Amino acid sequence: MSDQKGQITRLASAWSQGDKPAFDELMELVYDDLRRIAHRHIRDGDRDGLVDTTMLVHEAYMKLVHSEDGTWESRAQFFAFCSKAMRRILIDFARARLAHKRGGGAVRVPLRDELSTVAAEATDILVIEDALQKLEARSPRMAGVVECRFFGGMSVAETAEALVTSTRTVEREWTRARAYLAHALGETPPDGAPA
Amino acid sequence: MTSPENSERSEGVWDRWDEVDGMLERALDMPAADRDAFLAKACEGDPALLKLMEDLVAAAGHDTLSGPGDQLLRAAFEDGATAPGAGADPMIGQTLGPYRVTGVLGMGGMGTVYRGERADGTFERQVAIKVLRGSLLQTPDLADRFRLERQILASLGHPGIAQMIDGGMSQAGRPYFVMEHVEGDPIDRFADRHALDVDARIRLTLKVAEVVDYAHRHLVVHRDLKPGNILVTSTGQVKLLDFGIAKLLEPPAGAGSDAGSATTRLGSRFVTPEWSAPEQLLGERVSTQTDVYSLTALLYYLLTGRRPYEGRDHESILQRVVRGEEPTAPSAAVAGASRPGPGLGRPGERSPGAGADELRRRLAGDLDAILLRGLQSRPEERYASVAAFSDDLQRYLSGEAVTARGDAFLYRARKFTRRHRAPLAVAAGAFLLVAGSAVGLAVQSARVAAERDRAEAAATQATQEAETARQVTTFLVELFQGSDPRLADADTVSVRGLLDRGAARVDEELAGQPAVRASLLEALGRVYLSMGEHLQADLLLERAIDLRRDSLPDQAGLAESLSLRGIAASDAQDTRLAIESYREAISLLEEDRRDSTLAKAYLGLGSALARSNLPDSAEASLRRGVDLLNLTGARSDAYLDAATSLAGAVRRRGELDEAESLYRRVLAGRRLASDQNPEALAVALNNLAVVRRMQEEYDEAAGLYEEALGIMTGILGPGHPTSLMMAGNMATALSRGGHVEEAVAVQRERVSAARDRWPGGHWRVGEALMNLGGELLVAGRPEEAIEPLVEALEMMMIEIGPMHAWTDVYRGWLATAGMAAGREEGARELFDNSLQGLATYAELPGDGQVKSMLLGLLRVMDRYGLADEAARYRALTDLETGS
Repeated sequence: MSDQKGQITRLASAWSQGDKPAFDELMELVYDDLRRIAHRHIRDGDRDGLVDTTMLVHEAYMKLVHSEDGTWESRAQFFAFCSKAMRRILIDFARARLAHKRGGGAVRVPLRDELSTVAAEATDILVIEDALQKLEARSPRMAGVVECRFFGGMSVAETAEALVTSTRTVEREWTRARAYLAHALGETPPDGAPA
Repeated sequence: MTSPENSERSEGVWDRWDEVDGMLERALDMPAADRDAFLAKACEGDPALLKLMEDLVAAAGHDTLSGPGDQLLRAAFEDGATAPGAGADPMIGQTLGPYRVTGVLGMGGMGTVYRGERADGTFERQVAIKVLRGSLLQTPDLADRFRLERQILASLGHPGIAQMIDGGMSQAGRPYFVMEHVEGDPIDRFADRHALDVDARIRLTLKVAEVVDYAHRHLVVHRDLKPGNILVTSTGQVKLLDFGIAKLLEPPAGAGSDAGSATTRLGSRFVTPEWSAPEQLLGERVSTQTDVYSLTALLYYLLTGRRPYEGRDHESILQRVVRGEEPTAPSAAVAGASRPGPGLGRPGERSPGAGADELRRRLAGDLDAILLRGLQSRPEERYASVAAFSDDLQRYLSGEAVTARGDAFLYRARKFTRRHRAPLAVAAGAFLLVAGSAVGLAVQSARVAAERDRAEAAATQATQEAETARQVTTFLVELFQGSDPRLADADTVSVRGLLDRGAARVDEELAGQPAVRASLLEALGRVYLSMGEHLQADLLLERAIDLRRDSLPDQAGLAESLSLRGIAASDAQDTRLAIESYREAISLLEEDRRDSTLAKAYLGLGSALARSNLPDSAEASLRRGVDLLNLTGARSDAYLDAATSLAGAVRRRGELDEAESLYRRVLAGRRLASDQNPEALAVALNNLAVVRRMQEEYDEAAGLYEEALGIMTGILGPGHPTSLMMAGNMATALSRGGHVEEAVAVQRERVSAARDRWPGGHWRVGEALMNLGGELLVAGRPEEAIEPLVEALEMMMIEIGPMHAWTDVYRGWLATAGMAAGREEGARELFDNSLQGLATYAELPGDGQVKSMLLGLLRVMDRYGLADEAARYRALTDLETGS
């Protein structure tokens, strides 16, 4: 375990100095751990309790990085990394499930725990991913904001710190990114909001 | 699933990205009331664009993706059908009492809401049916209580409450409610859409308070007041949803002492933490005071765009509450609000800073006091009732003294200032840094300019520039020290605020000194740029450009400002302006080839053109930049990076020979610097190898890959995914070049490297095994291929699952080896499984990865004459004969 921590720290340091392959390797390490943590929360935990990505990412941080001498430039940076991992986990899972279902349709998930604002058509991960890739090609930073805020549950301030920009930029880009994704999802304002 | 409908829906966005995103940004920056007029003008003559923009603006106000994704995660990790698709939901078509379920309206933490109508057709009324998640109410006691509460709720008759019509248990034992189906906007959205000002938002909240007060007088507490539960219809009628439902999900209050902990858990489970009162989070007794808290939180949100405790999860909010931490005073929360704040009846006001300032002043004082009073952690310290809260708001509206503002508030205000002293000091430090760098930049640009003009009038120029720099410094220092008393106002100090003030003062105070003004504007522009405030940067640079154009003969300085604006415009996604700026900068600099500004402008122009989907002009521009850098510093990283992008563009266009020669130049450059950056050398080797392989020069490609692989293995180890990728490429090149046995050897090494790396198994090990098996088949040794292919298939079944499309391809590989080795029966069954699996894989046409895997498989099937089977695979896809 401590061996793994050392490796994570070493890779993180290499990555922050522009070592691209270190990113992939780091992703592999963090990815598996995040998956395990998430699985455990859902399988062993209270199935009706809250599972949120913020918690997952914090737990991953405690497990993987904490007690290290902190080669990560900031916690926010690690969270941003985990947000990327969360994105991959969800996409991989959606794909696997799609294959599993053998054409049985998409994984449809509600995006918000607030009844009246979730449109009648539930939306799904792969549409988000599809739109997010398009967004990424046009505005990498906006896509980064989505990763941090949506997949990592990071706060505006954490996101700004991780992306080395201002909170105002994060807020503005988050608003627009949400509009694009919601639009791509075919989201329409609820014409008949449910009780 | 990417349905065609969905992709088409957004095509407009992606095709016209720069235009659309720039316009959206501008629209969202302005007060909501101005947007329609702005969009109408901006989209004149293009109704499709107008429609798109309207949709986007609406979507931006629609808080769809705000969640931390907990539902998303849950759905992703839970097996089984807990995340029903709209079409596949088994509830649809069922009848619940006299109602038939006709569709899904939405989903939430408690369950799913369906659209319904009366099954017996007695009347046409549409209803909303909320079906709660099962297994929550499985005890007889709870079922009884549920029935009783439902009757109480049904007795509430107020036009502001969505009528509870019916309720019961579904056949599966899941409780459901039938409610009036309300059409309207969530209250926050309504307020934003109608650009309601502070007073109107308060009056709207008063309407909600009146309804809540009515319910309290009938002994019903809402318990879950939040924007999503409060709709406003088109006629302005407020409608509260879900009255008292949260309570139905809790055990009875007096359920025995040992139920305490259970209450805690259950009590907090169904409410939304951001809107919940502390006693709910703590699992303590809920009362009418609980609604006072939530109502106050709602008004706080409507006025500031923030929630009292910004935090996502239950835990962190709870901790803050337990520590007795008070919410941020509303006036202080306004600064970084994520939503457009209340319109202030000044539609002409464009500067975001000024709007926030005014709002802050409106909130400071009475409204701060009222809201903080309503948000006290201890219920007994809040307003005694909703009516008392309403009365104080009424007093505020009519200009009378509010009760919340007593000594207690003064005390809290002082406490607040004390608590925030440290951050304020930090902000001051940050400003010094920024100011320092602005000065540095100004001095630096002065120095650059001085160098440039050395040939002429060296002495005078230098004196002038030094004077410019000195004045810039003085200006910034004065700005920071602040003669304006408002700067001493602790709450408003921010770097951003100071910069804004600085920008405003430049014109007032330096009117007679265009050179200083231009330098200062440029310096401030750079600071804004570094803060990501590209619009603000753009504004300042625009003014610097105008100044230089009008009054200064300094062509190079103008070009510098223009290039800088090119960067700002690129950042702001305004590609058209970026292109214009770079082009003008280039036209000014064309004569002076020694200047690296020119090369950078060409590279900037190139990437802007590439984003505008003009590959040819982009290439020409990149090429020019590369050529210029070649003159000034052919070995610089900037040059090599640019040449690499250019080579990529050329290769994608299919000009392999030219790409080759560019990559060779890059390679030569990287070799010179291989000590400092061996990885870049490996990448350059790999890139050239890719082109050589496409040119069917397999031997050279294999040699290049080998060298790249050696470097990468040295840095990262043989089991690293990048090393494995390069080894795979190398094996392919060897195999294509006819060196099949060598390819087999490389594949074997690859398998053992992967095994060492992931001793417990991993899909990458499976992939390496599959490639080894494939290569053995190519080598004509099917018997030997079977063993690694069996292991590969087993590994994939474990690592990614038996039903995965990749696993189906692996089945195909093993089947092919089986046929080739003469073991027909088993092989046929595997083929059938593989084909059946792939036939139902809906994503196949769009899944390039699986298709390319199939292409490799087909090539080997053709080699062994398995024409029938190959035809069946081809029929599944649009794959032509394997090349």
